Amino acid sequence: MTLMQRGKREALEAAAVTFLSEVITPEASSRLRDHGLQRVWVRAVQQEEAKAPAAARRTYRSPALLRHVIVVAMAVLMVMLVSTTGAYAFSYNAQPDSPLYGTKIFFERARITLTPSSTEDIRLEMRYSERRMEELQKMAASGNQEGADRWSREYSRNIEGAGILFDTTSPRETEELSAHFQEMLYRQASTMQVMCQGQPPGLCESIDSAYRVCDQEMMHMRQRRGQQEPESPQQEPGGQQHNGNCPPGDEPPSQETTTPGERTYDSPAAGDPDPMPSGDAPSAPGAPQMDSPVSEKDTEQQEAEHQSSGMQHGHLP
Amino acid sequence: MTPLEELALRTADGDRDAFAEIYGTLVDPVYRYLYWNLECREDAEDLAEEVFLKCLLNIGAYDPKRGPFKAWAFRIAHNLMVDHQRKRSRRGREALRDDLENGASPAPESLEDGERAQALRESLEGLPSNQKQVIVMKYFAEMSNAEVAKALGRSEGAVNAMQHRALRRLGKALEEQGWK
Repeated sequence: MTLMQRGKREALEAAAVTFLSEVITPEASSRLRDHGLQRVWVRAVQQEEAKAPAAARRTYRSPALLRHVIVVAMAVLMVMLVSTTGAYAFSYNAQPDSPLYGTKIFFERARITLTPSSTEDIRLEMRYSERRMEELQKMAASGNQEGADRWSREYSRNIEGAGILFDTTSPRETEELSAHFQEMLYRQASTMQVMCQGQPPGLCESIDSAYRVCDQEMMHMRQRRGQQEPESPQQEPGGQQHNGNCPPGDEPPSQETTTPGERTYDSPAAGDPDPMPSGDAPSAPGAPQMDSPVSEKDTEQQEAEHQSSGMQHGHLP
Repeated sequence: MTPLEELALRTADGDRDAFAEIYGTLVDPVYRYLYWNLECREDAEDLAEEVFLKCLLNIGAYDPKRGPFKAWAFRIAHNLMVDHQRKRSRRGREALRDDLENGASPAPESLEDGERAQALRESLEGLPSNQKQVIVMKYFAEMSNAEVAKALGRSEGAVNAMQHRALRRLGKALEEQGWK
């Protein structure tokens, strides 16, 4: 580039700059100068307020679709609620021979699972064991032995479940409850003794099995509460007879399975309420009469064993 | 940090007075910039208001580390101006001429001022778009080369070069029109 060209360019630029500096821009009206700021503020606030519901609306595209989804979800929930409530209501009074008995047990287990505390679980197991006794009364009244095995299993589960919970809970927390439980066990044992009489063999066996669990738990409760075991097993007051369709000549099932120290059909410890009602119980006509659960001969044998082994009653291997 | 950046940060914190100061400082440069691009005072005023509204609504997004506040505001102004011109071009150039002839611009104070303004409009029309922006931003919006560069998204060197070319072309066009 020659000097002249550079000079020319610079001159053009300078001329343009000068021209630009002399151009007058028409001034803005007072609409912008004096009132513009206020309008800007008002519009800004209006837009911010308009954004909030728009943002809320923006969370879903189709109100109709959302409504449909909500209606369907609520309908499903209602159906589930109604069917669950209905199942619970229908199964509440189900007997062990009923197809709904399983549902009844399911709801009981579910309720136990959902309770937050062990003491509440114990109360529930106790309550359900009382339900088992009501079921037993109905079965005995109708002489129906169908479902007896299942009944016995569920009763055992309730009683053993409560026992395990007592073992895992602080004795201080469950002192009063354990006394109620012990009382309940004695009462149930007594009821079972009565119920067994004159019943079909299947039912009687199931009652027997449940009685053994009840008795076992009574012994455990005595140990937990630090109560003394009876010094020696005694014959039942009044010579309680256990009538049922046990095979002739057989010892009572509990005696066959007796292990050293294990107490079955024991007389209660001193001071405890007698689980076995005294007095003769009527026997079914023609039914073989069984010896009292603890005969004198057995008592003597056990005493001898006891003295020789030095084991305490109630001591489990 | 320049005063405008500080005012912007205070505005983001909710200081209304800070924004009022920003408005007072930039309203004339923004108006002039828009006027010489749109060639219509009413449109320039309307759009200036839009520029400040958008600045206020998005003030939280301004980051001083990324550039001067003035450049950020004029970037908004430039974008709004371009959108406006696109819409206007759809309306048709006839409408634009009607606006001019019907007094969308105020009457000049003197005949010479009017003629000067008309000559400048015609000269700016002859410039490429980016050079026109450089000229209008530098000489009417009173921006530095750095601020123009940030607003247009160019380097400072490029803005410098565009400025010289634009001035030369402007000078030549004015010379041809008989302006010395």
